[in-house]
Amino acid sequence: MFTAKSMLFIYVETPLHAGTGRGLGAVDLPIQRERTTGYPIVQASGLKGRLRAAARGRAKDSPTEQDQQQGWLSTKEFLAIFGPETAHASDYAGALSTGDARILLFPVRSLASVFAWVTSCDALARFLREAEMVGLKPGWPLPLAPGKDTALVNGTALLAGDSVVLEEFSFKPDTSQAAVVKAIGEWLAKNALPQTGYDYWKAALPTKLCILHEEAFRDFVLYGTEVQTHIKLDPDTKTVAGKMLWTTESLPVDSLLYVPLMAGPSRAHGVDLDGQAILQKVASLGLTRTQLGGDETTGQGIVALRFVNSNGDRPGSAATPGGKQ
Amino acid sequence: MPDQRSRNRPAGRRPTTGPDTTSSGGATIRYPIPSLSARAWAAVSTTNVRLNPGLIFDRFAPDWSGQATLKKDGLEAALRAAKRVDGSLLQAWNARWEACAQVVQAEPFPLKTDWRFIAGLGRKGALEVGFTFHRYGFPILPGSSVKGVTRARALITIAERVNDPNLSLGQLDEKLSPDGEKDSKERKLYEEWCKDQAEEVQKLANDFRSIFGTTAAAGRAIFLDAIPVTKPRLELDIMNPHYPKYYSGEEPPTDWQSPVPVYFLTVAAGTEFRFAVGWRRPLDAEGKRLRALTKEWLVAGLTELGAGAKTGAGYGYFVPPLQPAQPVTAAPQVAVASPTGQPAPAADSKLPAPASPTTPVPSEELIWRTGTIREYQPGSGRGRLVDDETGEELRFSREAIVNKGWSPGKKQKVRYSATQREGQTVVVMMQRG
Repeated sequence: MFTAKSMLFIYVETPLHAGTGRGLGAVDLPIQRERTTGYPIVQASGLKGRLRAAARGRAKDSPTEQDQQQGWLSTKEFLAIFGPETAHASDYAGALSTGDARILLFPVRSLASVFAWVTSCDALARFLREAEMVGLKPGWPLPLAPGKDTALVNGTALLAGDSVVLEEFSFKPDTSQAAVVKAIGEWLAKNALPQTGYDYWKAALPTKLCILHEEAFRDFVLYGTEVQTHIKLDPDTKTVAGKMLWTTESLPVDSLLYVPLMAGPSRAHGVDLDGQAILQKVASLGLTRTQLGGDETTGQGIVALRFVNSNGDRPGSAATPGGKQ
Repeated sequence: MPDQRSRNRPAGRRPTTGPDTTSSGGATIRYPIPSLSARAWAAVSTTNVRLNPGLIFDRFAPDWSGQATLKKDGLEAALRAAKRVDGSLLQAWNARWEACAQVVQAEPFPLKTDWRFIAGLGRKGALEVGFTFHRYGFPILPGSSVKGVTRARALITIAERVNDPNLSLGQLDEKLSPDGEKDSKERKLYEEWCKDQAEEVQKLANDFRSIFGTTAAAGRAIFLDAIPVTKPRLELDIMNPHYPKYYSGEEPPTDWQSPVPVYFLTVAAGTEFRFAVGWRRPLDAEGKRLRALTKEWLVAGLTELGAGAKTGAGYGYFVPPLQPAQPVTAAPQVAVASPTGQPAPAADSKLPAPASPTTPVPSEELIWRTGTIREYQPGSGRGRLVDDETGEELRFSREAIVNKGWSPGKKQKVRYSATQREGQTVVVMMQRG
């Protein structure tokens, strides 16, 4: 059904609260997580909704040729890609399909060098599977899983004494697979991190990347998220109003998520676009940053987006607008 | 790390592997963390790797259960770590923050702390006092706090115009916030209240609802976290309740009670933060007007109401930067001099004073601090001094000495001013104390 696939990388720039409503655990407002693993996710429906809202601002009834070159959509194309408005929902299905955003790199404070990105062989294997599905060829092998108290690193940047200390937990550094760690870090820096303004992070990634045992990684993504305490002050007394104290969980700044994007040919009458063209249109909208999740009015959830197709480029950066094949 | 697993523990936590000990200055300090981590912590303190003061503050606090003075040691460790933050990360982060500001249609502007500033004092922490650090280890003022201060200032403005002594701010808030569908009970309540108000109040009330949102709609203004521009200096402060048993309700305030000093972290006076107010809707003329109004309330809120803890004692007030000759109100030792010797432009209490093209305004102001000379060699013209308050050791050279021909002796008190250059603290001016 889907004739074209590509990958969208999401880099968290301000804490991202993709919430589930009221929680029953220690945090009042927890984030969305995968049921089986507990890994943080951003649900596909929310993502697609955000892309749709952002694209609506780049659609007009009859864009000129110049508009189209600058990434504007016609309203018909917009509806063909994202699906018709609710009143006409049964007319046809939208051509674009997004997956859930999954976690690939998770930032943890490090005793040496401020912070590290952690991941695990499990998280990397899932990424490789999805990358292959969309036709990406990362070209690095899956490293051999480290032991429970071991961290695969490249170089000495994260070394505190002779340990890697993340939050208050120490890991034995293992540089036996440094070449693989370096290759993964470099590939992600080149292909997944945002393209502009990221020199610091790109240079840091190969040396601050840390591959942990599944259980350690899981503990960090479960308990190492950002938990912000909020209060409401009574304006008269300047003390906490009533019982207005609550905690909000967010994905921390510098988390890297990935989403497979899939598209089939347009099903809308009068719009002749194939899957590749649809993805190209979406990637060309110029969405380098957007806002996801809750607490928009306090600056939360700003993310950088990067669309990558199987050539490793943005689809549409060089290609021509396509018709049906 | 299963044998280390015991995360998110409350203060006074106990490790599963037993605390490790390190020796520091003869006293033995125990850290309630896994022993390998404690050893690594001891190892990094002698190297020059970049540190995260937030992590040190949250996780590497000494076990002070037997010795309350160790709390101070823990805070001082965070202070020392704050001198070893990653300057290039701060720079890159500032650039990224600016890009985010652009996306939300905000125009960043700076404000600096007038006196010390504390965010998050009430957070639960291992050292009993809290502090809000960004994940990168820099102090920030969260966007939610910025919004709260701005909203409080806006409420006061409206309350002043309503001019009803019986209407408290809380009641006004309750009048302004509820909203619902057209013809709903909430909407009608608001409309009825509004009907009886002066036209000016009605307009302000509607602006307030657009900017900050109601129970039915999100606000249109976006408040970004305020972040420091340059490496911020942290300082240790103290509150010293003289009648601890009186405050805990056990005894009258008698003279034989001993004061119990409580130390806490603050951001130093003169630290510049960047603020940004964005807009969620298209930025048309009305949007621009409301955004400007929001900024006005924000600046007024931070300069008049203050942010963070202890605003009643003068903490947490901000002033527009580039304003030499600031009132020396709460900070006697923070006198600001203009190196050009020019008279200072008049202080404007509301908005940042525009830099006049004729009078060169220094890009960096000088903050005078007091220190003690540790060593000075008149031959080479080089010496070292120690800051009286922070204990930081700084090098200086003869060029910085203001009193020409004077050479400071050992243990001499001096006043000096330092600045950050290429990641180094450089003493730029020094004079007899």
